[in-house]
Amino acid sequence: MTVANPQQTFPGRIMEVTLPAGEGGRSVSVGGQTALPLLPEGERPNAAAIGIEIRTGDEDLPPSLSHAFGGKGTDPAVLAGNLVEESGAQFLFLSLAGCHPDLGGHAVSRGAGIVRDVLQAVPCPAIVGGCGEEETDALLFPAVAEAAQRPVFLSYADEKNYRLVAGAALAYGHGVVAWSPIDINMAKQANLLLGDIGVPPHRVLIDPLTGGLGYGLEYTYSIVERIRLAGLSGDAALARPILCHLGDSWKAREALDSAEESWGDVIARGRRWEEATAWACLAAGADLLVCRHPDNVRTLRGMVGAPWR
Amino acid sequence: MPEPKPGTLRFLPEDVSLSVAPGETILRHAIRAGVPLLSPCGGEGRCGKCRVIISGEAAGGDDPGVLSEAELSAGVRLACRCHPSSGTLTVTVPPGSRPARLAAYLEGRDAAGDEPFLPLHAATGGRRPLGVALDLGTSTLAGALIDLSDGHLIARAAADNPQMPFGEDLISRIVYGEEHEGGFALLRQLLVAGVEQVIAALLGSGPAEGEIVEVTAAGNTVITHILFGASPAPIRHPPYQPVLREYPVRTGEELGSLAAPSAPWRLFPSLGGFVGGDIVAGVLASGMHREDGVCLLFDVGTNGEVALGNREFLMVCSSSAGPAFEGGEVACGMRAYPGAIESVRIDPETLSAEWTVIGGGKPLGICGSGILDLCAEMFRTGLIDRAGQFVPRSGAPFAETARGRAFVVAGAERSATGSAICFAAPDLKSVLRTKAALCAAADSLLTAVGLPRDAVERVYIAGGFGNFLDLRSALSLGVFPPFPLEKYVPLGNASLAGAIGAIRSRRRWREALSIAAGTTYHDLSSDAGFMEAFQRALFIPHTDEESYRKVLASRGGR
Repeated sequence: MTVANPQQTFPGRIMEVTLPAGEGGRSVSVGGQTALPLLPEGERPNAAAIGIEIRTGDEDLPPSLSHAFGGKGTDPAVLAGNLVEESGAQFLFLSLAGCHPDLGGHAVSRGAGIVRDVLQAVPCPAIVGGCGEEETDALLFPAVAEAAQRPVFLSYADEKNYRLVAGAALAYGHGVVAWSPIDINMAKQANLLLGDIGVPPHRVLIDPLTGGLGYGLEYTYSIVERIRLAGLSGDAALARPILCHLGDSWKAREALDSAEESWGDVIARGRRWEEATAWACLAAGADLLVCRHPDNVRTLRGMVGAPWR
Repeated sequence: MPEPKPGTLRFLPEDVSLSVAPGETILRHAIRAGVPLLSPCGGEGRCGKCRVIISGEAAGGDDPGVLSEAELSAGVRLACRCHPSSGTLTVTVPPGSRPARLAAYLEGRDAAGDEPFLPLHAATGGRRPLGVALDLGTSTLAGALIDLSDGHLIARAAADNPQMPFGEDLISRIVYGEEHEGGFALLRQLLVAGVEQVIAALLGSGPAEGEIVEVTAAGNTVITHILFGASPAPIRHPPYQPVLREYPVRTGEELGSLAAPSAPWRLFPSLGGFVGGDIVAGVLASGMHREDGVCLLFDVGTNGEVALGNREFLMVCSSSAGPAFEGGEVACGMRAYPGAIESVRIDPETLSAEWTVIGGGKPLGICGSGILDLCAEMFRTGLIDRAGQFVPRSGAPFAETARGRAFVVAGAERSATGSAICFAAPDLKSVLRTKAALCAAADSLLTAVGLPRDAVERVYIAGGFGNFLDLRSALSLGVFPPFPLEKYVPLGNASLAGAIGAIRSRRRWREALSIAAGTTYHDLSSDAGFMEAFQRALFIPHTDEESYRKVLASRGGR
């Protein structure tokens, strides 16, 4: 006697979102699935997309990253070109951290210039992040939206600044990353607010805030899973692709501290810390991962194609 | 077509005349003339509350189906549907169409008070046995005088709680009592003086000669402790438990009151530190403890208590909603007294506000219903977004104030205080928090007992605010959970109604005691789901907006 495997079906489908590429690049589509990850049932037209982050400004790199970036250039456009090429990243996440008053205090025009140069040098789809300082970002987003000569995503819009970010995105045809602080309700609220001012749903990604391994990852895991379940169950405002930015895993002491020799080599440790965080996010249901270490992009790219589907 | 020559419109009984603006409804004229007229639906012909009696020439007046044949022939029209024409028109505003918010603190429905009155006291020597029922609120003391020989209600009266100078909220009064030698004694003295003032007003207004033979009083736990002479201090400290839950019967003399020194005073039992006898009295008046169907009761007061249950179980919680709908925590907020803006419309074209003021004249501030109206209107006209932030729009009367951006409800030249009445960003936040807490408390109670929203058959709204509230406005903001409009029943001052019920019938008093004994107190501060429900409700109308849309789209309601 054979017993059919029980199959969970959901009424909803995650909105398919395409990150457009520049000339000569390949656009990336994510979402479109009708099931949770790691399960046999449902449709999954798109695998998770893996991107790489480049940050401007005077930040000290974690040892693992300065090792990986060695000799790849310091100019953002050159570094981005090399890293994307080498790692096979499907999209680039350009963070204009250098415009933050504490991290270089670049003028807004310089930030916009970097965006223009990088986007010209690298044809893959791009997400451009602000510097995180409210007043600077208020000037930066409109300038970036104008400087980007092709559609990108702006990161990020939250409950406070969404009018500004969405306004800049709408004016120049960009998409928006909607951020919320590990809270399913605020994630939904951000999407509703963006919808209210006319951002089309297929140009929105959810950033639920990703805690690093040991530093809140389990909260993120639970929220990503709940957002996905709500979206699949028919809540249209949450049926959007989820972007997990792994940057916080590089703030963990375990990823940085070279003095703790009993923990093993810090160069390997830092990379592993990000990778472990990434796997958990994929298992939870993330559709886009933003890595900083090029080797992780390669590893994850090699894996998401097969067993995850 | 030639422009009709403007005539004159005269409002009675105010005897205010103004020249007719062609094309404007009588309601608009009334607003311009400062004649108070109820129009909770905003002149859309839905509520049928702006009934006026006209004599003279008027056009329009097509009736959406709320007026009877007899009313129409007697000249009754809806002011929002009727235009004055060229001649002279006299419009009488009947008492039923007047906003009477002051009565809000007094009027209450006893939904369960249906039994025949059984006299326990007989009139002797021409002196009637009198009973006083009291509602001891944080800010208002209200009372009713009842003839206990036949059960009829002789008079109602209200006074401010004289403890108000020691803090608008109860916690600051406890702090005062703790930090000052004889503080609680002073608070008690003030309270008793306030109660005596109410009783004096009650006796003064009634023609009856009589003697007070019984008193019932329903109040929150802190006020009741103070009156009883027990320290309310433990309520403020972990584990936040009151000294007493039931209060032995005392004479007025023992409580320090000379107004009814020999009468026994029955104080309604408390349910917990922050859920008091006023809720017991409210439940008693709603009659939910006798119903088969599950009911919810909202007491929209300073704390925002919510009760859930039926004849089989009762559960209460305190939502710490804050007093935004009582006019508290809002800079321009005030109680529903003369001079308070009680209803607001915002013109979607000019984005300026029009309002009605209790008692007419220039406004001093905004009371709860006006605050609710204002927020609903700002949301409707797109001046606030769903997260409760102001949206810059050209032409909107926003101003930058010391408290951040603010919507100017009334400019300095139009306000009675000489300075502008502004509704600032923090005010908006406190309204949002209040409404979110009420909503989340109800959801948490339902979750705690494992019932879906559909299981609730009736929703009682206690508190003066409930009587005059436009339910659609309230639901468009998400003040209450999305129940179909016809399930809502406003009760007014249910605490006073319960106290009256209990003084008229011993059986009802015993019911009150059994309500208190059989009610479960649900502590929201230890409910893990509450903060999430709160965050969900911290949005306009709600993060779960679909269910609100369904309710608001449906026809019906009261």
